[in-house]
Amino acid sequence: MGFNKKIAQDEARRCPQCATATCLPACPLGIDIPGFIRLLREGDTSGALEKIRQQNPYPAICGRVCPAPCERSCVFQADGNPIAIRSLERFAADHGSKKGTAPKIVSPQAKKVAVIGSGPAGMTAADYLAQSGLGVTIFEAAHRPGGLLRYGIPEFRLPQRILDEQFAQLKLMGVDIQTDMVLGRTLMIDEIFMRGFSAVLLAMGKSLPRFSELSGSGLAGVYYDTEFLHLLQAVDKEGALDLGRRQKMATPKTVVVGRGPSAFDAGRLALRLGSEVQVVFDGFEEEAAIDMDMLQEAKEEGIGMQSMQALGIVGENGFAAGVQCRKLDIVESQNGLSLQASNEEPVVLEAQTVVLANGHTSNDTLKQYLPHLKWEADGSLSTNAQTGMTSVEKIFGCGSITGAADTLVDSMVSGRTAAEKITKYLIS
Amino acid sequence: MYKILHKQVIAQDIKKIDVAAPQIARRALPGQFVMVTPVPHERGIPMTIIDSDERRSMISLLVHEVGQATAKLGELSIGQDIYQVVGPLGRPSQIEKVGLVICVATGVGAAQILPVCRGLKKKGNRVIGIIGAKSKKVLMLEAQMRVVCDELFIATNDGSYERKGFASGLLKELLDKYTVHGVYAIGSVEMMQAAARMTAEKNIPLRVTLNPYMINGLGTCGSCRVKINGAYRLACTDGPEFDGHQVDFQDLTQRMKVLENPRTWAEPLHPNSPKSPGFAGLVKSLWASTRK
Repeated sequence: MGFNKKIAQDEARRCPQCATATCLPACPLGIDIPGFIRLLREGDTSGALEKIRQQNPYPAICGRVCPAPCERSCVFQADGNPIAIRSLERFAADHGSKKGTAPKIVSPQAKKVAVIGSGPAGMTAADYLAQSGLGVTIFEAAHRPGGLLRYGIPEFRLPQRILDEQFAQLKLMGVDIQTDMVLGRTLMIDEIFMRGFSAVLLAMGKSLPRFSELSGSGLAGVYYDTEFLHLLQAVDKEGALDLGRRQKMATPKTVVVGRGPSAFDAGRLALRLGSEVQVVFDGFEEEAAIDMDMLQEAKEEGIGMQSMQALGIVGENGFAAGVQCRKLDIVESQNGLSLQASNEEPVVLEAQTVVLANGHTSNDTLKQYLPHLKWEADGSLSTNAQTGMTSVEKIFGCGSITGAADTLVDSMVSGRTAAEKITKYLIS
Repeated sequence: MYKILHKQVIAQDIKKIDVAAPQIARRALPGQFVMVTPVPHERGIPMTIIDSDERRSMISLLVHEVGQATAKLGELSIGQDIYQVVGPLGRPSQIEKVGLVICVATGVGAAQILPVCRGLKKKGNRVIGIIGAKSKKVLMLEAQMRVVCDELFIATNDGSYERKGFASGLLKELLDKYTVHGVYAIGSVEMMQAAARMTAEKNIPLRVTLNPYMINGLGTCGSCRVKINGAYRLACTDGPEFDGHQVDFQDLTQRMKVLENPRTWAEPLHPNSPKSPGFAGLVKSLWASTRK
């Protein structure tokens, strides 16, 4: 839930405005956190929004789904009650006056840049490129722009309306968005250059699930996180009728194997459609790779958590029937408590749907299509640290495909740096 | 944007539509497919491009009405717009001049094999076609196949047209009769598996096109994973055509079940579908609910 004005001001007043703020270096984007909180405290919401906008073009998105490393380094973190910086950012974005950006006309002489992919990295890069007066065209393979923000985050965490607003803003800045364009299939790189673009920025990210080693991952009813989120995202989420249609599809029991944000997103989505959900990973509850707010929300909503080691998926006539898990014992050592596989017989958690969240990797399309691009050993696109250029002239890379980013903010930073480097390359 | 230019009913529940899509028509190669979303908020349907006409900038697709999404696509009439068509996706078929080639298809596979046959013929191969269908009512594209192939054999399971039997039976006879240099098989898993067994014995290269459950076709979700040579590959970006001798058919059978179970978040079945649980299913589900 978003804050109302009273709560937001109370929360902003709680901020001690440290002389050497610990939250400042924690923000990858470098937002002036104490600065905007001070403005909020004074009641100047629009001023606060302006302050955030200097470093972050999309506060409405970050205010909802940023992993908030700043909150973890807040001085009050030790008490377990850090300042809710992310929620304050959301408050500023939702309630600050949106100064109507006047439609901008890009000069026809301006050099043009093609951005491939419209996820967090691509949209940030497009924003900064447009700001520096270049002509920008985004080519997106899906039908609506947003990438992982649209197809990998459920509606209850990031409403599509917010995304649409951001892209409308981008369009006002003179950015052209062309959807249904698959690089290497519908659209060729030579063709982009032939159309007069001076540079291409590859920002397609990586969202292909890393395939799991668990036995039985090919059974029907076993999904990977992006697959599951995409599947349910594809169906309407506005009409009650369609909600009913999705609810009809829900299986009685779901087990999610994984500890990241997408694991919990998938779990909560299944839960909201009427399935009983358990999240399984081998670690303490607190070791879930999501922020504490989200964990709290997930638990309050009714997600069961099991500290167990998944061994394999049990099938029945080709359909998933359960997940075989080994219990973990708590062991005490000098380093504190740790978990160890117990010797007990493995148990089977009943589930008709199993969602595996096993991290992500990039697919081979780009490797097939542009074989002369250089790749790092870990499967990420290799770019020159100084120029941001890949091994091919005039082609740049940013976002998680280059291995520079893991989280939303990192991708945005990567997009911003790439935009700065391209501007430097094209203008000098 | 993607206007339906022409529409034709060609068999029971099967319609052929021509769609205006200049971006796709100029690039489409045999064996590639498009992802079609008929109306907003509907699920995407992977569909093979059976024909592309660059001059008239349109592509032809075959709609087999089995689910809710395909039924909605079938409802659209000439002049209406399809919400989204993305493509051409997937790798094109491997088509080379090898000599005598047999192309086997069952069911809707006939639509997928047609562009492959055309490509093979263009390269100068001698092409023998085999189509298998349940009955004459659902047999399709016979005339088009007769034009493309040097010889065409047809088998219907109920014997309502031409030979009674299965496509794999015809394939076996032909493999015994001729020296074959390549086989292309598209259709049911059982047929492709049988083809793999027969061609492996004689050391004939086999290409199969797989039709697993697919959500977005862009290589970002992993829904269309199929086991090839012991590792999962994506049918949408690495396929859909694979070396038939490397496909793990047991795993494929499992993956195909995603489409069968109405309670695995997949599309609820269309009442027309032969796989619909029907009255017996209703009684069964009511019985199950009373026992809860």
